[in-house]
Amino acid sequence: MVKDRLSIPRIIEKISSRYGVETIYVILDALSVRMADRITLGKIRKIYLKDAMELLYAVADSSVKKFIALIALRESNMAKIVFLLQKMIHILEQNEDIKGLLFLLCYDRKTVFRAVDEFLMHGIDILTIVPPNLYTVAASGTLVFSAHSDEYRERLGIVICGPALIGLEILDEDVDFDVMERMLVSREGVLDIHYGFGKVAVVCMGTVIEDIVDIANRRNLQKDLAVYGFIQFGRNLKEKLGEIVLRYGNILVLGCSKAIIDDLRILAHEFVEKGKIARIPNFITIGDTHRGFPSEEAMERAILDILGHGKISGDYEVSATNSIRFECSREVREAIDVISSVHRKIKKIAVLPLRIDVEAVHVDDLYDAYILLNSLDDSDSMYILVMHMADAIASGDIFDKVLGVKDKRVVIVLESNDVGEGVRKVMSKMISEFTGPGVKVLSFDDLEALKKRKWRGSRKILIF
Amino acid sequence: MAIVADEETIDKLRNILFEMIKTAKLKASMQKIYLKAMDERELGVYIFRISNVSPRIRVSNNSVDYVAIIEDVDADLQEPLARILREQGIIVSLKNNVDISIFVDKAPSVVGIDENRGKISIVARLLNDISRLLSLRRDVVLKIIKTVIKDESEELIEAYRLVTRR
Repeated sequence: MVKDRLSIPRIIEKISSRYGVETIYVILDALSVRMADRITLGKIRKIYLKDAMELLYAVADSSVKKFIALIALRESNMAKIVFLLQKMIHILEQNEDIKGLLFLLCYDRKTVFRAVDEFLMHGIDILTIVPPNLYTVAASGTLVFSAHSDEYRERLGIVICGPALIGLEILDEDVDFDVMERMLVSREGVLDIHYGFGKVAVVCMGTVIEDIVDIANRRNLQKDLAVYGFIQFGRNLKEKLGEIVLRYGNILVLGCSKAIIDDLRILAHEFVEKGKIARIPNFITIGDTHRGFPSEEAMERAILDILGHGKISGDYEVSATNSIRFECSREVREAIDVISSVHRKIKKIAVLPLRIDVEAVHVDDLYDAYILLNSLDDSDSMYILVMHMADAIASGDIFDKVLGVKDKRVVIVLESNDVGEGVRKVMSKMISEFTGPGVKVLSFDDLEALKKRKWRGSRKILIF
Repeated sequence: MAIVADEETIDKLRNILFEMIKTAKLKASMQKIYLKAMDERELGVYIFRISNVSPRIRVSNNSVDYVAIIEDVDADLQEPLARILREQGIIVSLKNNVDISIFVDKAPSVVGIDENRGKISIVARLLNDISRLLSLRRDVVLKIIKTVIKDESEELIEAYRLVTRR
């Protein structure tokens, strides 16, 4: 078997070349722009859009029949995305030959759970996949773009990519689409995993599935556990969960979204009322599903404890997260140093995913930065606001407001995070549309000029 | 293997490492994670795994046998690194850049690189250790470095030659 380096951009390239997808829509955001930049296949046309609504118009108006869209999912744009998906269903119902795969790129695990909850709550009847590994990402491409997917529900797919997969690169066996197509036909298009034949059910989703299967294998628990790994959501989910509730008296729920846990409990109550089961099964949920994430050791200990294999003592475990953050480039760090050197009182604000240093205040989005700038009442200080260029363009209205903040000396440093030169030029042009009186624009080459500058007045300085 | 480095360095290193693993006909994975220290500060670490089956993608206590500290790290932030390091593991960093008292429980081998030789020597040392592990010849590694990072390879080649000479 041939080996290849695989990552999400590489898998997208492979899906594109296999199924003839030549258009990728990129909704401007630090993460999606960076992902798009790593897609280098020549025949792919990348179209950058300001927000999710523009994607709707692009899909409805253009003659593109197969597309992939890269959308960075944040708490702040969740409602917009739900609206986009609802409208997208209408477009697909009317245009039978459009097929599309939306990659929702999440900065943290919390957003993955939130997305699954929101989609289930709003009854979004679209093929939704939370992949446990990179091969499943490729399989979702096969599900959507292969010849047998004709119904509208199958012609649009959502892949919710968590940070564990976004930041992962592997050197492993290459994706074999022929095998994948055969496998999906034999499994009637179902990606979900069922492993083991024990009496305790383990319900899990996403990347946790591989950990649980690994624990079951390592500890030889195939006869004790029945692992139900949910990868596909939105269709027949209630029936699948119902089967588990009917069959098992002990159900362990690991790393699942709140909606799934609630559904399991509601179904159990329903079945008791209807007399289908005698008592409500024991539900054990591990880890605060919205905030924390149980480590593999914690899950292993819990499983063994429940199975009566005794408690294993464990040390304090290392706490790790794989949330997506970007370090600032050398130019940006230099710019911050130069400004810091000429002014006595500096306050640094960074808009995530960008990270500067421990002294800086890191805020979730530009809106938070705007509120912070307005609320801080320190006229002596110089504020350095660091953010990604794509975020500034995407949240144009608020960026305009930030530029209009009065009585504060603000230097806005815009990071382009190594995006291609062409994209950078276009973004710079778009940024320059925001500038007007009271805003001075500098480039990183003009940094020396900053040293000589008299830091009086509240004129904003924009550096990119 | 855990590597603490900036993105610029890791981008070059990643390509070289994957090429070496490809040559050795093994499998590998690289992922960035953030380890939390006691004071809630986070340290970005690249976890690189080599295996002959598909490597796992999670890190736990005592799961790493080699730590390369290419960037400066606060003493407080070295504590989570000590947790993930296996007993008798290896730490490579610039001299005086590691607080040995934090790692003492794990009885590691500490390789201190002379500060004058710069961070590039840590990269060279790391490549040398991996090439020994994979039984790759020196000339093969040099060829990989030249092919992967082309124009900017001179400094690294020089450092690698120096390391392998010893």
